[in-house]
Amino acid sequence: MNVHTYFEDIGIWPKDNVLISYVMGFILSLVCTVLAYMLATSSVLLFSFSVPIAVSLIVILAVIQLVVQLSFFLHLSARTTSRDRYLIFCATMFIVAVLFIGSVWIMNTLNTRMMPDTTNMNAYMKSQSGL
Amino acid sequence: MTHVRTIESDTKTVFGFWTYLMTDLVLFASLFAMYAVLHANTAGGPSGRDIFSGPVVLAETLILLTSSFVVGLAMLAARAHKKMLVISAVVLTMILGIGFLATELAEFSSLVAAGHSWAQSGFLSGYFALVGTHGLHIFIGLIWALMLLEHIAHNGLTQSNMRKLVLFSLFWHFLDIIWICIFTLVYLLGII
Repeated sequence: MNVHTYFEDIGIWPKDNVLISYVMGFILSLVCTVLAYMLATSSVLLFSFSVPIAVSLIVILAVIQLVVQLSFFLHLSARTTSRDRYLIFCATMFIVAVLFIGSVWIMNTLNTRMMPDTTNMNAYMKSQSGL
Repeated sequence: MTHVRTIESDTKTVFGFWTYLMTDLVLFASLFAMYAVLHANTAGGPSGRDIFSGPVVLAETLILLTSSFVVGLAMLAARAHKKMLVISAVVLTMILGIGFLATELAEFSSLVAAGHSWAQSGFLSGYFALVGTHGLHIFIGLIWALMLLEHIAHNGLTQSNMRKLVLFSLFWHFLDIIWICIFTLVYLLGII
């Protein structure tokens, strides 16, 4: 084993400068975290944003930070060095999306999918049969 | 005959560990989904806005982010073959990890002491299950880091220990990524 190229050899690091990658990842993550925190705690006072806009901005900042950490800390990319990890990550994110969005969607619309109670059901049947 | 580890077998080990992390991601996704479904069900108890403390959570986030960066520095030190630097970086990671866990446990115990345990409402059940599972991972990571230290201190930066360091760094970066989701979805959107 060559210590100085071991991480590159096992495909965990890209060939380019990794120190810059870690420092960049750290600084960008710090910026995203602090900005998101300011938005959540004082957005109405500082920037006079409405709540839905502040929420969307916070979520966008979180997504940016996730991409930053995945690429700068975990060195995940479609390049050949980490292609296998990248592909299984994409497949897992599909499962995660189905699981999360599907659960929230079904559970939040549960009431409209349930049969009404007896009183309401009788009223509904009467209205349908024209009695 | 002793088993000789090659670069190829280490590559496979790293991929196998990554696959485990992806299954862990699915575990966290189901906990996040549960929290998203239950977070409004406060059953007359407190909501996120009543119990979350912004500065404490920001401190936890910065501590964990720094520890994730320090693991990266440990990797850089390992490549430069500086054993003492690797050990210092892993020790610093552990100190930050312990600081994070202590803050979280203090937060949990003050909630329970105020009567807001997981038994009070669906929101609190989801909160404790999600954040607690992440905390449990951090705790396991700390034990792992301790064993890693022992291996490196004893045998130096052998191929086997380099591989162990790689797997630990993946685990620790992964936990920071999960924490960003908790920080955003649970805390920031809870206090806004």
